[in-house]
Amino acid sequence: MSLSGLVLTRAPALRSRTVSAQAGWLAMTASALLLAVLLSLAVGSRGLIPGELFDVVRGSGTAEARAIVLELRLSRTIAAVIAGAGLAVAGAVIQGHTRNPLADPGLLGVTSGAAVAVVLAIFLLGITDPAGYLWFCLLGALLGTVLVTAVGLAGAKRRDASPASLVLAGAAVNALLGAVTGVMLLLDSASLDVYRFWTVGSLAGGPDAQVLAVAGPLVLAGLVIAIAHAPALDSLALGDDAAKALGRNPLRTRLTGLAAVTLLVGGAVACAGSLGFVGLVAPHVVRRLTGPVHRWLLPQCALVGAVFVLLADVVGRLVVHPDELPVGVVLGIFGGPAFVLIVLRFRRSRRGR
Amino acid sequence: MFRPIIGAAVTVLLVSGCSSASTQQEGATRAVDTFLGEVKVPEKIDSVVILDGRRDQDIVLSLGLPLTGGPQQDPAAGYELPSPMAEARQAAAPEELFLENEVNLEALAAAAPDLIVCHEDDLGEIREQLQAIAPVLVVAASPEQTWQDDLLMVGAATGTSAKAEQLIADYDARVAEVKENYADEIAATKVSPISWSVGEGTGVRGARLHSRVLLDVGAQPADGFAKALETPDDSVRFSPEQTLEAHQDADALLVSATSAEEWRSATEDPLFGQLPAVRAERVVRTDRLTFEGGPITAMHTLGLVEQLYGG
Amino acid sequence: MTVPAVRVLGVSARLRPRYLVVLVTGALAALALSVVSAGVGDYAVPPGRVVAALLGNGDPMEELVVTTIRLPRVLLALVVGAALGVSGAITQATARNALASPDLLGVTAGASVGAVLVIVIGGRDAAGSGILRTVGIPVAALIGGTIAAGLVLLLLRTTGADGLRPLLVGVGVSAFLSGIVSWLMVVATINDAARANVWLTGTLNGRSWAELWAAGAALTVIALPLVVLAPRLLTLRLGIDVARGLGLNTGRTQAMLLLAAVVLAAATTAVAGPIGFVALVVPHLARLATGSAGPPLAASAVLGALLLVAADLVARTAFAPIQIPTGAVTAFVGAPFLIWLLIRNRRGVLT
Repeated sequence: MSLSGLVLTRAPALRSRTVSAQAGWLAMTASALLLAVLLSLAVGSRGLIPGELFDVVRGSGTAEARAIVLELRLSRTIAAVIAGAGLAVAGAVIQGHTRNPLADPGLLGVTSGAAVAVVLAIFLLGITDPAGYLWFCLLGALLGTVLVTAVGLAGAKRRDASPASLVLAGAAVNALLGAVTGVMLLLDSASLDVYRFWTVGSLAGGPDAQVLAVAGPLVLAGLVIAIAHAPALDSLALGDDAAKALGRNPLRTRLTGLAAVTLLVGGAVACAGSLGFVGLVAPHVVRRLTGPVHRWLLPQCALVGAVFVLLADVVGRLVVHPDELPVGVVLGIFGGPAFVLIVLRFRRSRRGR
Repeated sequence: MFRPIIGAAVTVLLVSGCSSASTQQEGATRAVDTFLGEVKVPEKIDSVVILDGRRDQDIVLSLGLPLTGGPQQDPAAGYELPSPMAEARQAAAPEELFLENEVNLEALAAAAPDLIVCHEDDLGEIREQLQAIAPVLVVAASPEQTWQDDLLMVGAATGTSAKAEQLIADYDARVAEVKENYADEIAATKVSPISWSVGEGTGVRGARLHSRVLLDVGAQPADGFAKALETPDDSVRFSPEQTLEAHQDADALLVSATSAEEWRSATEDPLFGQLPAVRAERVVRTDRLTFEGGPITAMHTLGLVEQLYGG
Repeated sequence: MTVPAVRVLGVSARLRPRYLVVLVTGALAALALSVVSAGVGDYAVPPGRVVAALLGNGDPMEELVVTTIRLPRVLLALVVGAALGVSGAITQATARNALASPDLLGVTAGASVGAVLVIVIGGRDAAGSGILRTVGIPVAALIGGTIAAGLVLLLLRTTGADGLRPLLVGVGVSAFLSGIVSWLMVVATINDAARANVWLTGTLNGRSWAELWAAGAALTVIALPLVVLAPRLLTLRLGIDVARGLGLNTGRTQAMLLLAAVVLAAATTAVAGPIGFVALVVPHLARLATGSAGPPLAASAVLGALLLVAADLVARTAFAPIQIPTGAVTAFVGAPFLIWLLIRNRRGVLT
């Protein structure tokens, strides 16, 4: 098949949805996010009646209600939005680059890599300042992304490569990092609390405002970079050669993607620890709304990912009342089956092709 | 079907255990009835090893037994407050055989102790091996077993009953003194012994030593404390959002925060800062070392309780 | 040169000299390493005196350390290693998939749910010395592991278990189950959570003779059906069509073999906690060593025992006096091995 033929056959699919339809979806998910944010502010283990909430909104209200809503719940809500948006967009970008529908920063070991980097920084260097270990988070995310991309590309070169091998490599990386943290824990048992936060993923207690102030802009920068290279990502979907023919420099696109993923994952992990499955499930859900065009896919992923994490966090606050279930656990319980579903569906559709 | 095999194995084990033990222990033994059945403890004890470092260590140290080995207190645990047992431990200078919570049987065997004192939860899967190394006395065998019970048991096993009774009498006298000196305060003050952990809120456990000491002096439990005492496992946890709601009625709080980080997060917490007890500055800080212990820790905790009532 | 044929318990196979050499050297190495392992530690005993202590005429203290503290652990490592090796070899041969291993199919995660559930619900009883601890936790782990793997295989029934899909479904199911474990840990009291944590690390530390006998007996009973099934495995290895031509009910045979392998792996998890990657790595090593076409059973058993004794020795001594979990050592070796397998993934190896 000639190159032009390839582009032509793909092109209608890329333009299948009109701008107004896309904008409509965007508006809908944005309002879903607004609802989720309100829910996250209103619901918690300390029940507040609507009247109390309304007072807080009006600027009055009891000191307790104000502290709960404006300090505890607001900071964890912001953290959930940052983490969800960051991981979902990172997932979509990795899926685009590796052309692997099963890629997810959590499954591939990138988030746990970032988390382990932080735990190592705390152990070996004694860094306890939240703003200090943020940089280790970024470093860990960068190393993890480079590793995953390398394995993914090595696999993609071969004709018989299967998207699954990358996920399995991620499972192996996760197991290895689990062993590393397990040993570190034994050598230094007191770090259990720190460890649990970073590897399970939790928003309870409200993350440090200092961290949010740095991680928020990082994720935003990652988001902007990701959306800016969306057209390049689209042409990459046609293969490296096609992308070159369309005037894209694949190497530059890859480096841009790497930078975006590093910023997105590093910032997200700094806010909420290691969360799985958001980066996998959100792009799959969103693709059904927007189709595969990254210009629309990526912003939608940011919104939908934030909604997912917010809802998971709210569920976690309610199920083991008065205790809380960490948001990472809730995502694992819902995300695992969702992943299985995607695997089964994906193979069936491929076979039918 | 496999029972006989297991039984035979255990018998062999016990026989071999006894034979090796008997060669080390020459001379008379004292038999005591314990949680593990009858235990024969040599009359002459030159070395005692502990496995946990809480109630077992406290009892061994306060009875003046020769403590020669035990766990290393995790240096990275971030204990900010000095241990109540620091002085007595320094005098005994036990060898650090393994890390907290990680019993190393070989190091233990190499230390060749005359007696092992440990908590029931250290026993786990290594009970038979421990018994082969030396006679084992188990403290904290059940939640109902108080430190006083264990002190008397170890006293009887080691011929230090008189000392054990004296220690209990001393404690009772101190309790009576506090009760008398602060009678009005105690009656008028609702208290709660809470623990603070970063990001997880607060918790109260009735089985903790500092909770027991509070009850010994006749403290009026605040709601959170009372709730904990009603539950089957004596414990209750509150999420970060519930900090104020749960401890609103407490006039005074004994707050355990082990590391500097934990204490900082408590003092900076918006809800913790609004607690009436915190506003009235009726908060005494402690750490997890007063969760469990024996006479030394109990006396130390009495001092904290006294501070709580204005002493 | 004629190839010696042997016939054991109805299994007849032509033993090539290379295979025989691997078996004998492997067994001798495992034995030697066991003696070394029984002597090395905080209380060092030279190999000569280890043998003396084993024969019952050593120094009483050395006898105590060697026979009461170290020997059960070494023997358990041998038994568990061999069982994991066999289980992995059967899984890989039956699923005709070089990456299939029981722990990747969800056995470990399922067993963890079972064990932690008993610890949390049973509370003090399960954690103490009651019957619930000695019998309840292993049985629950066995059931949990079998159910989880059964669930994975059932999910695959509709679509077929080709390629990497079984493993992916295993990853998803494992993630779901480990979420459940975390949930249980949150609900548990502090003491129960700490005890569950000890189980979850997968350590052979502090094993007694009683546990060794129980584990050995249980594994033997579970492994018995394999003696009957093993010859069919050899037939199966010739390919589905050939096997069918030889009159074998391939579907049922495959299902029975997989079930046996999964139950065996779940049983090892029940007695030793989660020890990952041994079942995956050992059959590959055995295949490389013997040069045989499929994963060899006997060689996998021998090499599995050897590998786990070595891993346990490292776990005991690498960070002395602190002992790290045996499962951590096998993960350090096994995880990079898995990545290597994936990178050199060629057609025909994985599918």
